[in-house]
Amino acid sequence: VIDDPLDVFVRSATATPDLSDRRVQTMMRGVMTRLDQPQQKDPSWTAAAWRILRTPLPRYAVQMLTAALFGVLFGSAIPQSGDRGQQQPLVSLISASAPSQPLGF
Amino acid sequence: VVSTINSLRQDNGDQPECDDDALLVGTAAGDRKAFQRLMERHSKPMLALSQRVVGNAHDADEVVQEAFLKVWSVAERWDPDGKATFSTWLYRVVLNGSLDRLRRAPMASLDEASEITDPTPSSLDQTLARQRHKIIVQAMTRLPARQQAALSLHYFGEISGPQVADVLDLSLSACEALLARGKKALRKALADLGIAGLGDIL
Repeated sequence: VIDDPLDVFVRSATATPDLSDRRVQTMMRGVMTRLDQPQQKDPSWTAAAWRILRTPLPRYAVQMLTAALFGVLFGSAIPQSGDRGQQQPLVSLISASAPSQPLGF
Repeated sequence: VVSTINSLRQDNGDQPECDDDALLVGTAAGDRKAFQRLMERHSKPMLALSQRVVGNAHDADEVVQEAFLKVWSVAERWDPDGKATFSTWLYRVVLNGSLDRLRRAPMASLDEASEITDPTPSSLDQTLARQRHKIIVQAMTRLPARQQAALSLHYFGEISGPQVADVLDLSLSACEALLARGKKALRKALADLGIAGLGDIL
């Protein structure tokens, strides 16, 4: 079997590291030490909610929320389709008072 | 579980070695000795793979430590009848961890790698070896991720072709095709770095 020249090239350029037993033991001790450290728990729902509540709000968030609230309140006060009968005299009055002129289209 | 732990306790030097699955059962039950024996068995090949992928001992130690901590945390969910052997799975974890680390913290530039701080012959050899290694790794980082992973295992894992295919979860023919494409791309990447043969870096 003839070795691929690229294989020879790469293998000769990247020798296997010399790993001492001492280094392996140190690495394993590191693992055992980390096992004894308290593990970081997954965040619970309450912790996540608390974190969201503690997050600083954007500068105009309060104003925008107030505006949205007013929008909902006033929007609900606008008469719905069932109330159109009451609008009719008003529309008629405006039509009668407006000058009769072409609208331009 | 109890019988496995008892067999581990009786398993001294004269006794036959436990297989990985038995050690994992012990690990899942919180037996630290079983876990340590599992680490003793697999640490060297994992450190060798990681160090050759990331290019330095410190990062390799970190990657392998993380991999073993993962073993400890998933041991109770380990399925001995699953598709992969423990060794295959561990190779996968260490390879992915090493490649992730390489992506997050690319190796120092070649100029830094070739800085000679100590002009003694042994130090010079070490510097040249480091530089050669960095050239290869730098060329590999230019390849698509799958090709990089396949070539890293092929060159640095010191495992057979079928084992490389298992780690990558590919058929042998698909793995060979991936390696062939990877080698072609690596030749081009090396050529782009001005390396056409051994003489350019040795």
